[in-house]
Amino acid sequence: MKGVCVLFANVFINGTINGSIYALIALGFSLTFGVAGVVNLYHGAYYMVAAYMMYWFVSIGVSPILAALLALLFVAILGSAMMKGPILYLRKRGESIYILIFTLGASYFTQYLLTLIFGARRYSIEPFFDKSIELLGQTIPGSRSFAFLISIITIIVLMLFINKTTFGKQILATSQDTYAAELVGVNTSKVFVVVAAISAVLAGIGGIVISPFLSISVDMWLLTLLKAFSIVILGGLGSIGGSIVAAFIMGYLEGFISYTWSSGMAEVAFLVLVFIFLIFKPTGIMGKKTI
Amino acid sequence: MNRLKDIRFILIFIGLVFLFLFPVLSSDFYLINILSIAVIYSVYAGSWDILSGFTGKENMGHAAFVAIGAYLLGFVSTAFSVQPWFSIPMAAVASALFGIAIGVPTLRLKGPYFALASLAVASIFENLTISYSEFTGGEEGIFGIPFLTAGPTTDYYFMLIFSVISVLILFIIGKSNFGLILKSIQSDEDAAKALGIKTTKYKVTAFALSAMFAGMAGTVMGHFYGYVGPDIVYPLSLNTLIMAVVGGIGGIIPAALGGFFISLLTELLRGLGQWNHIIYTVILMLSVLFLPKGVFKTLGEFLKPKNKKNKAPKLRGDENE
Repeated sequence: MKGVCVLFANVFINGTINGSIYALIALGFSLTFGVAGVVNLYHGAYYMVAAYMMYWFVSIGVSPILAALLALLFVAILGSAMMKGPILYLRKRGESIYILIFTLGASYFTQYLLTLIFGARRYSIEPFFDKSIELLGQTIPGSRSFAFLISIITIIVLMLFINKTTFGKQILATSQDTYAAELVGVNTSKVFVVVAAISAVLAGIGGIVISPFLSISVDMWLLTLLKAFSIVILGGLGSIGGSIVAAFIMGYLEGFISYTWSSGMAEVAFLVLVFIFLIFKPTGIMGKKTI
Repeated sequence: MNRLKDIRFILIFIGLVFLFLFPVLSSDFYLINILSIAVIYSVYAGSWDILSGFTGKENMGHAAFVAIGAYLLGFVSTAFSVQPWFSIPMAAVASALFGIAIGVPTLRLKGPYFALASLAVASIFENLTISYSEFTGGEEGIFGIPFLTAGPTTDYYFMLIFSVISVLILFIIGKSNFGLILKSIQSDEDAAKALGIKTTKYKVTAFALSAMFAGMAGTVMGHFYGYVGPDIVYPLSLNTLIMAVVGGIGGIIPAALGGFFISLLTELLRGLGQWNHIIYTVILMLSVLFLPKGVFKTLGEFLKPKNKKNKAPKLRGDENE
């Protein structure tokens, strides 16, 4: 009985923390797809670049808060430049395969560039907040609870921004019907670029908050991208609520399987779940659009 | 005999004659080895093309098909000393069945959905390979697979002949009605169905063909190295895609040439270390942006005999009547 309680507490706490980070990263991916109809495989690179920028700024003596802001500014510029330049150009030309291949190639390019600059070794950052908390008999390191708090706050702020501000409504309008949004005076190219910057910042925040407890490495983007992609498909491409639900499902499933089996199998289990979903319900948990 | 007027056909023929004569002209085993690998890459890229280039399902997990051939060879070779005449047909059957097994459930998926499904399959394979190291050797792989033939020159001829035949078969299939039907499915599946084409049958066959050739090439590669491991199998998902797209999709030969030349380039640039990968990815990005049809397809269209010449006699014939 005690074993079951420990299992439950462990899965619940780790699942909630990881789920919130996955939700944050997947939201950006989902937003870009929902608004611009673009599957941006460069999304994982924002996460990685932000973590590396954070590491670099901190190592040259910039204070962590300023370093985080600078890193986020950098990925925001990178994100809007990617969208404004190549992605919109390829989108205009049609054929989504080229966007998939271009963004995947760009991710590998970023990986090799970072390897050239920083080398293939792993780095980690000093925790910003190291007061650990006791909950349900489990000790939660400060950096993990910090990551959870920041993720949840960011998600809430994003939801308020989208639902309450005028620009947020323009984003919603564009995602529902780009052509109709243009007819009523929405500057959709501007919306695409701003959404790309927001997506990049969301992934960037994810990269920064995990950097104290997961090491930074040049291949960190791939697994994160795969998870974000899977979560978004599982939740329903373009559905923000679905992505959040799917992110927590992934967090708990991963927690449960890593605790009872092994962490390698946790990924396999999630991928199998995604594969089964793709076969039987490709529109995901909350997706309405047919494919 | 129209073929003789087609400069593309002549160029490929000269290239093949050169490849067949190469061991006679040079005894540099390093070059012979990298050419052996490059011809196998042309089969990887060609087999990717018959599925993805023709039906428009962008397979991002081609390595899963290669893994079936390579690891089956690895497993069997731990039990007995398996020879290529046995292992290649075995890989063909097993991979084709696996291709059907993946093809049937994913029939409806397109675009990002199919991309993710294929990516997921290859990732599941990779994770299982690493986790079940008692069977697969994990990161280390499986050693001690019997070599293809006795020496590097005979290996080279074996791989060259295997690749030429495979690419030729894929090319002929692509040129035939079968290939046309696959392309019609890509442009409008409902219209193809309305014309009475059993699209399911054709799509599943494309999966089986793609997997079959990739699996056989994986087995040949395993025999060539005497080893199978994650490092020679799993990077292929991305590499094959890059090679086929940079070469040009939808015609087998451009993709195969992409596979051949890009893998050759990668080997020759190996001395540049890290820069090698950077150059490689920059070529990919530039080619997607500025040569969307692919390098060899664009070149091929440029060298194509002009239609005017073929039409001219007919017109004159009409006048005579």
